[in-house]
This record gives sequence, structure tokens and C-alpha cells, in this order.
Amino acid sequence: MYSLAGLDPRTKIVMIAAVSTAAMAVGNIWMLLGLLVFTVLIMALGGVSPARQLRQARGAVSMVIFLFILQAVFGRWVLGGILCVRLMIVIMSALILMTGHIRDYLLGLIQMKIPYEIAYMVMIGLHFFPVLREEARDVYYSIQLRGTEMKKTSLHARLAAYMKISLPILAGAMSRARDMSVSMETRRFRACQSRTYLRKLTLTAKDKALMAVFPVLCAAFIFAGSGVMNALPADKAASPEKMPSQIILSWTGDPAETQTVSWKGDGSIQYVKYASAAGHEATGYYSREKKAAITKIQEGRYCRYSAQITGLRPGTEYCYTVGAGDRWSAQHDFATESKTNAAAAEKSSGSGTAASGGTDAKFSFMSMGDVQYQLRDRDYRIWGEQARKVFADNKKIRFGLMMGDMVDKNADMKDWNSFFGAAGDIFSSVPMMTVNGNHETSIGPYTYMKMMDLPKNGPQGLKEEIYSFDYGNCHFVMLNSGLFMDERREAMGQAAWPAMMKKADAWLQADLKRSDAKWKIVCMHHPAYPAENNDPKLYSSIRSHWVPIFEKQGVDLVLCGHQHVYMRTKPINGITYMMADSGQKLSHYYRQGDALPAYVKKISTENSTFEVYKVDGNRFSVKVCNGDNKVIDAFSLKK
Amino acid sequence: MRENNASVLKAGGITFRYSENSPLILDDFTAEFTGGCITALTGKNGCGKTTLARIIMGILKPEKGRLSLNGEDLAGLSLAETGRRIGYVMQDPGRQIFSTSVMDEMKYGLENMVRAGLLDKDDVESRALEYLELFDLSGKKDAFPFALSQGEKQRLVLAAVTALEPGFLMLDEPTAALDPVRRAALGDHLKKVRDEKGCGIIVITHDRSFVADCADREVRMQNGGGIYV
Repeated sequence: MYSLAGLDPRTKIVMIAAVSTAAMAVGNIWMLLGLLVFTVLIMALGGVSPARQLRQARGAVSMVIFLFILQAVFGRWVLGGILCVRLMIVIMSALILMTGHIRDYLLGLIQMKIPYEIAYMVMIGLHFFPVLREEARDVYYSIQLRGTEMKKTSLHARLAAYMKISLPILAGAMSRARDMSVSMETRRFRACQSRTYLRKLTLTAKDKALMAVFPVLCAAFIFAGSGVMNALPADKAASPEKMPSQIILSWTGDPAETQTVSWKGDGSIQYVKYASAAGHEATGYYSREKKAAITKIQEGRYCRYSAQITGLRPGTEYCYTVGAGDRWSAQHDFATESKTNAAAAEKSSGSGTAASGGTDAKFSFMSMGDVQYQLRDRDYRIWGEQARKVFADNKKIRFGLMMGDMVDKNADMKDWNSFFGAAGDIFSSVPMMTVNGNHETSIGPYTYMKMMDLPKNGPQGLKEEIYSFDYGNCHFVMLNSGLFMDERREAMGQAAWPAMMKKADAWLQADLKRSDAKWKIVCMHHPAYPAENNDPKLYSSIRSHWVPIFEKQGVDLVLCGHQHVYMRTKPINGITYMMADSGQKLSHYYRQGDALPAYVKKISTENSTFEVYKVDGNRFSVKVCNGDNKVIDAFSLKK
Repeated sequence: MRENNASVLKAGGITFRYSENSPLILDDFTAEFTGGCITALTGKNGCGKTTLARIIMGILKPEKGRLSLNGEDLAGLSLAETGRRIGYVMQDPGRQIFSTSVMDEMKYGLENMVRAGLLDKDDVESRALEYLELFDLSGKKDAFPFALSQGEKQRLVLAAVTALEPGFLMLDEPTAALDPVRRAALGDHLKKVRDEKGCGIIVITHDRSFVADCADREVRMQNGGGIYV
């Protein structure tokens, strides 16, 4: 029929490019398996028997099987299958190269008008494959000869051993590249700009036909694959979830009369249905419903819903569900802020004045620092379990404050899925109010702002990045300290950035001045007073822009995160600064035993700290619990 | 001749070729290597010295023949088990370094010994330091191993392998990258290991002066077999 060995090298390059492109573009496992069979067939018909193919690819086969097992361990069978079949197609198609001499491919590439330097580089790269394989084997043997029992050891230890192979390979490749470039330059590589070649390749009719057919087949395959992708269950992993999930409460209005609910869904029209707990218990029905607004965060992959329930009665318990048609979430509940017990609270605290116009003056709230992980699933799971324990033991907690760096990669939906997944069963009943950290920021916190529903009472152009809200006799100001990051300054330029900061500073001044709350609390991600001064420009910017305003306007407490330690300062000009850390990630900055700034009152490198605040009129007490819910620090403020 | 009769590595009738149609590299090779002495394994390029080393280490499987250490058949052992009995330093030490610090490199095998119950956990650090000192690398314990010179890399691998205190050491052309001063120093190191640890050392080499200065005996490979010199 035809012989691969007899084909022009350019034809083989086109065939490989077409098959590999098709494999990379289509994500359906069945189509990919078909393509793998097709690749094996064209090689077999071209004179490379399946047995020979298997022999040539046997090193890669074990690697592919290992990759599949690795994905399967994390429950990603389909994804693992797709990756492995795809990789096998690319490897098998590349074996076509072995039916010719490398010198011919170099000539082929040059006659395809690829610059000589690039063609030569590609060929050198191909030459080095066997060397790299041999090196990798030697490292593998050496690791075993130093006592690692590959067949008997745990999967984790085996993975660690495999990871070690890359280091000497990389070091060897770098040193070889350096030596080779010097050696080539000394032998005047590229000295002759116009090269001629003794042999000239010519395309036969068979070559021309194959060169025309393969790209067409590739395009048809990709076209067919794009239609099937949405239809077959194999792609279920990539399609949006059908059931509403990741339900989170927050406030975008008055906590006494409104409640905002947001969740993840499939993009169809959905609602929140709600009723007072008493009413629902009596009738079994949700008496009201509200249609949710949809925000498509990543088209076809992540969709978030949001609905603000208004006209609620203060101090009342409500229950709700979200969804549509026959897909509704489990029932969750929330309570609005009470206004009726304010007078009693004030009376018991001995104060003559009502706080914030007479609201709930006796309540608790919690704050948490960077949840952002080292190992995504494990660390979020631990955080969720610990936070639930703290909530269970402190039933009067009305809301949680997050100090940013909830996720590692802002645009990675897997991170948000894990965070909301772990947070959902707490914050579907207790509102979560957040500021963004540097990990939610790429110049601006764009994805974060789509994910979170927050009050839009901040300065123009910085809404949701900066906002404030009141609860009881407390006023909370939530600030994006990422405004001081170099990326933002550079992106905005010399004129726009100072103008924006002027607006932010003015808003902060006015907002704090306007509030007559007894306790004024500021939250932001970066510290004004760090445990370790690793980013002096940013921290000093906060001190020069915002700290004078805090001091002038009677702020009592400034909460932050960022350095992955728990820290509390002595009062600095009347303000206590606290740094929280609720995740498992170890500090890159302060380490146990480092010299401390004089303002530090208490520091702990223990992971997973949760700060619980109890507000009772004139008394404001704070206890800091570790992951085991043991108190590691406590203090109180009095007025 | 120095000998430690308690320890004998025997290769009997080893026959090997790389593939069915390729010529025999080793043809009925038979030799005995004894503990407590340095044996030079010499021969022309391509005569099968490295191949023999790899067969002894269990990396390559012979067509025929038997390998035994003190009567124990080596064929049934895993690479990890063979590595504990015979330390192997390849011609290019860069292929045997896989840690990010000299100390970590030293500890890798020692920690595996701890896991296998062959070494006390508390002895890892001191054993690593002892062998770093033996090979003049004490000052480099925090260095990035790939930034070391070729000679230092060679000594590091030697230190890491000998720290496991195997009964035998197999060194493939250890003097290839060394100047005469370093070569003499390596000879002294090997003699120290031989004398202090009672280790049998097999050195694959072309270096006649190294053979003359250090080797207690020589096995020359010729036509796929071995001749005692």
C-alpha cells in the first residue's frame, strides 16, 4: 500500500502535526481512542508493526499508566483517561519520525522555509531524546541503589522519588546546552548565511495526496469532536453542575432588614424561596420568592447567582432554599439583626447612650485570616472542620469576617470551588463579609468581586473593593490594601493612582467621621504593622495614607492577615492591630525565633487561628482559638 | 596481597549481549573479587567493563551465569538490596545526584537505611558528617550539589555511597575527571575506606599509574572474559 519509510520527511511532519493537533483539540475519550487506533493503523499499514510500535513506545507506556493512576487516585478517571490517550497519540504519532533519518528531517524543515537555526535546534533536540532517557534511567537506578524499594514503598514515597529524577536531568541539560552553544560558536555556527545542499527533496504524488488529506481529516475530526463534546457523558466533569451549591450569605444592605444570598448554579433561571422559620413550620411552605441575578464568571464552567431579600423583620429567624424546577437546595436558615433588645443591652452595660441608634448591642462575630492553602483539598477540609467547631462552641456568632487570600489563584475555579465547598455549610447560615488579599488580586480583584456580593457604598470606582457596614454598636470598614501594590500603581500610572488614592482617603475619612458607633473596626489584608517588614513600601504606604485617619477618627481595632501568623500589637496611638491566620500554609515571613518589632504584644506561628469577638455594650472582648478550639490569646477593650 | 576472606564477590560464567542479533559483550566471564582489597578492572574501550559493573549491580540481566556475594545469589535481590551490599559510583556522577543540598544527598540513603531498620535515626547526621569529612567535603555540606566541581561531585557520590557502608564498592572510571593531585588524593581516600572499613573496592580504570599506586590486584578484561594480572 505505502511505506512510511519511503515518504518525504515533510509529509511525515505534516502527518504528525495533524494527528497531534487533532488529539490536543478534542476532549472526548471515545473519539480520542478512535484516533489512537487510527494512528496505530496508519503506522502498521506503513510498515511499522504494532509489536514494533509497542516496543518503541514501551518506556512511554509505563509513564502514561503511571499518569493515569495518579489522576485516578484523585478520583479523576475521565480526565486521567483523556490525558493519557492524548499523550499516547502524540507519542505514537511521533514514532513516525523513527522511520526516517534525522538528517532528512533537517533538510525537510529547511525546504519548508524553516530558518536553519530553528531546524537545527529541533533536530538537536530530537537527537537528545535517547540521551535524556538514558540519564533518567540512571538516576532512577541510583535512587533505588541508595535504598529506595520502588516496588514496596508507598505511592507518596514513589512519587517523591520520581520527582527527584527531574533535578539531575535539568541540571545536565542546562550544562550541556551551555557547552554546546559555546562549542558551536567557536566552530562558527551560522558563519555562512546562504547554504546550499547536495540533496534536494522532491514530493511524489503520494506525498502530495497525504499532505492534503491529513490536514482535512484533522479539521473534520476537530469539527466532529466539538459537537460531541457537549453531548457525551465523558465531559460531565467540565459541564456546569446542575444542582445549586456553594451557598453563601452576605449583606449588601441593612443586616436588620435584608439578607443577600449567593450560590453556584448551572446558568438557568433560579430563585431564592424564603419564609420566617415560624411561618414555614406552621404551613410547610416558603411564602415568598425572589428571582436571582446571574453572573457568568467563566462561560460554561462557573456561574454564580445572587439575590438580595429585602423587607425582612428585624430579630427574626428565616429559612430558605435556592434553585428552580425540581432542583432545589437543602433548607438553610439565617437570622436578621435584632433592634428590640438594644435598649436592654445598653442598660445592662450601664451606658446612657444607645449605640448606632439602638441596635443589637450584644453579639459575637468571628474573623479569619488567610485560608489559602498549600494542599488544596486537605487544607480547605481542615479549615472547614475547625471553623465549624468554633461556630458550634460560640453560638452567638452572627457573622464572619475574612481577611483575604481565601484562594491561591484568583482565576482558578477549582480554588473557589474548594473554598466555597468547605465554607458552604457554615456561611449558608451566617453571613461572610470579606476583603480581598493579594492572591485575589491581579492589578484589581476582578474575579473576587464577581464571586462576592458586598455593599456598594464605597467610593466611586472602588465599590466593593472598599465598603463599610454596621452591626449592633460596631462600624466595620473593609478596605482593599491591594491598592498599594506595585502592580496597581504601575498599571494606573503616575496621575491616575494618586487621584484614586485621594478619593479613597477622602471616603475613609468621611465614612469614619459620619459613624457614631461605639466600636470602629477596620479590616484589610496587608498589615500596617507587620510581624516582619518584608514589603516596607506597601506597609509604610498604609501607615502614611490610612493610619493617621484611623487614629484621628477613633478606630479601635485594625484586623489583617497576609503573613500567615497570629499577631497582636500593643495599642499604638489607641489602636490595637491584629493579624489573623486560619489556613495551613506556613509563614514565608516571620519564623519562630526571629527578632520581633517592639510593638508586638503577642505572636504565634501556630496555624489555624480563629478570633472570636464578644460585644456587650461598653465591653469588647476578644479570644483567639487555635484549630483545636483552645484559647491561645485573650484581651478586652473597654470604653 | 591484602584480602578479607570473609567477603567474596563471585561472577561465574557471565554471558551477555545487548540484543539477540548483537555480538557477545561478555562471554563466560568468571572472576572473584575479595573484600579488603582494591581490584582494578581494566581493559580496552568497549570490552565490557561498565556492562559487567551494571550486571553485578543488577541493572542489566545476564543471559547466563551466576553472581554471588559470600555465597548469596545476587539475582533475586532488588536494586535497593544490592545497593546496600555493593555501592556503585557511575562514570558521570552528575547522574547520581538528586538532592538540593550536599547534606540531603548524604542523608537520602541513610534515611532509607533507618526505614529498613539498619540504622538508628539518631546516627544519620553523625554518619553523614563522618563520611563528608572522610572525603574532604565538610565545608560544603550546605552547598547546592550541582554547583560543585566535577571532582567534588565525584567525591560527594563516593561519600554518599560509602556512608551506607556496603561490603563492596564499584567505581566506574573515578579518575577520568581528576588532575594528578586529586587522583592521588582519591587513591588515599580509597585506601582509607579499604583499611578503616574493610571494604572491597573494584575500580574500572584505564589509568595505569592509578593501578600501580593503589590497586592490590588487577583483573584485565579481554575477549569477553577476564584474566588475573
